[in-house]
Amino acid sequence: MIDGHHIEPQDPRITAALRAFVAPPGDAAYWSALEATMLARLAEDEDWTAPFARWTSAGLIAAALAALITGAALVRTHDVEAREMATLLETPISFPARVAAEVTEPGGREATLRYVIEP
Amino acid sequence: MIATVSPPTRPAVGGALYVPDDRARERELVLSAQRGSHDAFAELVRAHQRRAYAVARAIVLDHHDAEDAVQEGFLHAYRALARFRPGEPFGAWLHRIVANAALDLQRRRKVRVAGVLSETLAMPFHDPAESDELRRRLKAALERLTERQRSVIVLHDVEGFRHAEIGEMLGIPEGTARSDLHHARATLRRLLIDTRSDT
Repeated sequence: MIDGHHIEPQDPRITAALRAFVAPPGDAAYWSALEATMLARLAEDEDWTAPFARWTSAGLIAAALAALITGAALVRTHDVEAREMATLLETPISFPARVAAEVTEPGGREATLRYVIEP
Repeated sequence: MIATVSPPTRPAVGGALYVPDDRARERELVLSAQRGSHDAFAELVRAHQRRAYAVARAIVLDHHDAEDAVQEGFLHAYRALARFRPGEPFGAWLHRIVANAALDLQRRRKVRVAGVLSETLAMPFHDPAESDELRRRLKAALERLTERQRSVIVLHDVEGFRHAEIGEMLGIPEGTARSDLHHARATLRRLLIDTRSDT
């Protein structure tokens, strides 16, 4: 385990040799050329991704419009349904007896009753 | 399509080329670049490319790989620029990105070449006054270190980064960076002193 106080001291000769070993190019023309290459790659990358960026923007706008239209349609549908429901509630029910008779299935029940009480 | 970009020979945005310590100027350039100014980004490239190269070179050691890593790093930085907070030090952020690009490159290389240091180590920029024999010995000694130990000793002793910065760049705890530095120094000293005493 190494703590901050017991690190092997630096050897200036080895450091100097390492420095020479990994020395960056000193020529200004080299750096200008590297910079130009990098900027060209950036421009190339932008050229390549620009259509996607435009499509992304167009897609986002289209999605937002679709969401607005869907939302408006939902609101309209909800209004129509609410109006229909209100109309339905206000209309008096004219056939309660028939509904009750249908629900109780009289035929089946009477047949069972006859079967039970008949000798 | 490759856009035609002439090599910039003068600062593109305003007066003299800024130095990375000029935080106000750096913030101004970053904000301009985030608004889409290529000139501002070009100036950031110009100010940081040497240091970025040093970071990459410490990790991959090969000149051409370092160059590739720097280019990849700047490309990633450009794409991620919108997420960078202008108040933060741009250099530290960039170095992490370049270090990651270099580590990725190193991993890809490792698949193709089984952990042997490239013969092209610094050769294109060989100092004629430097001893070939010393270079050969140093190369042999560096091959005895782990890749991470090599990166740590170059980043710390040659480039002057602090342990915490190295830890962030390489994705390791600060204590591990210290430990790697200790072992790297001890190994190089032992191997190079042994070699000197042999001759």
